[in-house]
Amino acid sequence: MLLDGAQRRWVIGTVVATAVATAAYVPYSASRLNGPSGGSWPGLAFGVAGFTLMIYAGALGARRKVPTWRVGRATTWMKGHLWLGLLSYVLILYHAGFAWGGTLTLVLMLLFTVVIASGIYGVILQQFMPRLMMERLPLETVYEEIDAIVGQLRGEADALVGSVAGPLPVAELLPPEQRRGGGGLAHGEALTHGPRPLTAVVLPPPSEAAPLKDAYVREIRAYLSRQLPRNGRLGHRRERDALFAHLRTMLPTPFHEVVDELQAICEERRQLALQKRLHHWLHGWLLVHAPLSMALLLLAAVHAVMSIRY
Amino acid sequence: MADPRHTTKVRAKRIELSYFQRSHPFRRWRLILSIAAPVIAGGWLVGYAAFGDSRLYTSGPVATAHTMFGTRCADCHRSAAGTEDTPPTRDAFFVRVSDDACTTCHRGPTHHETQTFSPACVTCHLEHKGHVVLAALDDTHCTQCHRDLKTKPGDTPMFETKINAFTGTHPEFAVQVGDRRVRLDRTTEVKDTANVQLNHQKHLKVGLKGLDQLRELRGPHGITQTPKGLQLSCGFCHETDASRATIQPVSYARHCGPACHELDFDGRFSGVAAPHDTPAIVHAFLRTLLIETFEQCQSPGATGAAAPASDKLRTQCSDLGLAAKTEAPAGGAPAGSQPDGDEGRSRRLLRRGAAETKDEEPPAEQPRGRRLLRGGAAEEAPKAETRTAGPSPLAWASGEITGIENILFKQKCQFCHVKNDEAKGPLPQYLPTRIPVRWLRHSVFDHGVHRPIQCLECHKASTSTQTADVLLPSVSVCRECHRAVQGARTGCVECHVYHDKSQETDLNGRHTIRQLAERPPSTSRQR
Repeated sequence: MLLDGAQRRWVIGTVVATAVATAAYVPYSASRLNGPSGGSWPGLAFGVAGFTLMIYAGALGARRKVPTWRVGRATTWMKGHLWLGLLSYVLILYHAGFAWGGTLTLVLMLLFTVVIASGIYGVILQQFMPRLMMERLPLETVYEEIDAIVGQLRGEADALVGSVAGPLPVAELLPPEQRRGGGGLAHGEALTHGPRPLTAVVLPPPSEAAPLKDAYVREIRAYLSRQLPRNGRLGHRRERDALFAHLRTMLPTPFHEVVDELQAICEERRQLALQKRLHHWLHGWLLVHAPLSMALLLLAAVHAVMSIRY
Repeated sequence: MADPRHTTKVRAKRIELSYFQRSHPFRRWRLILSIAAPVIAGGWLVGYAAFGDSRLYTSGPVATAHTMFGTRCADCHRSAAGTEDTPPTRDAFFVRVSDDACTTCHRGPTHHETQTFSPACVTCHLEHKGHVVLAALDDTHCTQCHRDLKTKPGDTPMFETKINAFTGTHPEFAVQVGDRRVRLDRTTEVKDTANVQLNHQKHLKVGLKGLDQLRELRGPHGITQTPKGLQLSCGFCHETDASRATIQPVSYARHCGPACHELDFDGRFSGVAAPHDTPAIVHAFLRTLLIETFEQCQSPGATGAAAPASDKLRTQCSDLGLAAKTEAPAGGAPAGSQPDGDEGRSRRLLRRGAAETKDEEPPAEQPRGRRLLRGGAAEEAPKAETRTAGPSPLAWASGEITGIENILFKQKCQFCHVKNDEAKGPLPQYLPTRIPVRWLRHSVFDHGVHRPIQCLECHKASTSTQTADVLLPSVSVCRECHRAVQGARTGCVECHVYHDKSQETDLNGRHTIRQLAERPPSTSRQR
């Protein structure tokens, strides 16, 4: 979610609420002989308010699971999750009196801190990562389909090279699980559309395409696999351009169109790899934020019950 | 023209329409972790509950002294109505610690009878804060009253009413002078009223007479070798107790008598010293000594034996002007030659007195001195004198004792003690010394922790020549170290104790080991 002018009311509301809470906390803290305590009435009030906001922030996950619930707009929920979650941390700090307390409360504060920090980290990433992806990834696709599309690209490349250089010395041209396409094709169904037809009418004999076949089998095909080779030349723009320029030099002119096609496939593969990496950066923090939030809510509920007992 | 292989249509056909129905590793892991994290957290709580350990839920560690009860919440968090007969309520919410829970083990007497209110125990002694000692409180607990001290209607505050901190408006120390408290800064009024004459400056003089003998007799402890000679150190007389916190009272027997202020009284009684006791005891001692010596000299053959002891007795008898008989009794020995000295003499005197006055046997619990005094009664109503020749021993002793007592009381006793001029009677009376054991009775002070500092830094004894000098340091001396910034601690509880420890509960507590050690059966239930 972008922090833009649309958040102004939420920002002001959060700042005002924080100021009010601070105005209440300071005299309360100064007047207490033993310092602030979560068990005092003001401390309990801070705790109840903070926990309520925590529950609200945690309810965003449930709201997303059931998008058909008509309980406010998704953006409103998201803004509330962001700002009220932040406010809840302040209130809980006031509730605890900036002390760690016992074992459970220590764990709670650590979890809460990690959850808040990971959330802030996610918000920061969302300020520039989507724009970065839009600029650098014109061929961006659905993240979940990246592996499948990589398989399709490899199949297209196999077919393209095989059509001009003869059968490729590989065990299987296209694994069955990758031999599928989109557009409503069922899982496992063969891709019906192949590489687009070449414009050259008369192609030289396959023996003259030996350098292409050799380079494809040795380097290019590995680059089109799901796992990118760690030390492949194609990972670097300059070496990739040099490789394809070298192929154009070595191959007769009719094959240059094949080389161009292969280079475009490699470029698409590169963008998909970059998209995957950026996606992990953009959403990886959720693997920490969401699970720890669940644990936090559970432990906080137990803490609330056990602490008011004594 | 757009690249035909990258048109929207071509790219869209690559995407499977039902891709969102399949589980993707990223989303799958998020789901797994979102379930696993609460499950692990719940398992953690269940694990602790299974072992019956509720420390997890405490808001902090308990004080060191309460560690044993750290997992037994209901021991302290119980209803005030709970007694030994009626179990306290344990399953309610908001069960705060009542004073009853604390007074089970601690009495916690009232701070001062004139205070306007008595706070609950937990107001000051807050548990679960990780405090090692619950009595180590912040100054605000004290200054909530003492910054503007109020007392019950009709009572006048005995102490300074505006104290905000030790480094702030804490007043000068005050000591008891007579029946009133006088601050140390009132130099004309503050004085030591002890009835003893002592010159600290003289005692700290380098090369003080007798220190060589004293060091041979007592060892080097408390005697310092300086370039100019030997010097008494403060610790020779002012010894601490076993805890090294408190200075013990000075003892004549340990610190004054040996080699310095011995109570010898007559050159004719070489090696004999009077006891450091009341004049009546001293008088009884002298009278008995003289009678015994007389009898030794008059006993047949006492001076006739060839032993060196007999020579000494012969000389002593001659000096005393007593004629000696020629036949010595079997086993007889002169008083001055008894190997066990004063103690042996006293025992023999007691035996003798018992033989003379069996009908007046004093109770066994009567002090030694009183039993010696019993001879005084004999002096007033002497038994039938068995001897028929020569002067009466009582008459001779009465004649001698006047001169000896004149020397002993005036030169020895009155050297340190103050005579009571108002007292009437044949013997002089001396005022009780009244040396205070503790000067600042509303505070505690640990000399042991201050041992890196020279005594004279705080106690100006080297310039004190008068007994009336009060050698306590001013509060300003303490503030040289106990200051707010980069100094020793300045908290009220460093010196002051809120509850009167002398009223603490009896050492014979009410619990059994089983009660304290075993886990209460309700522990698992309440968790």
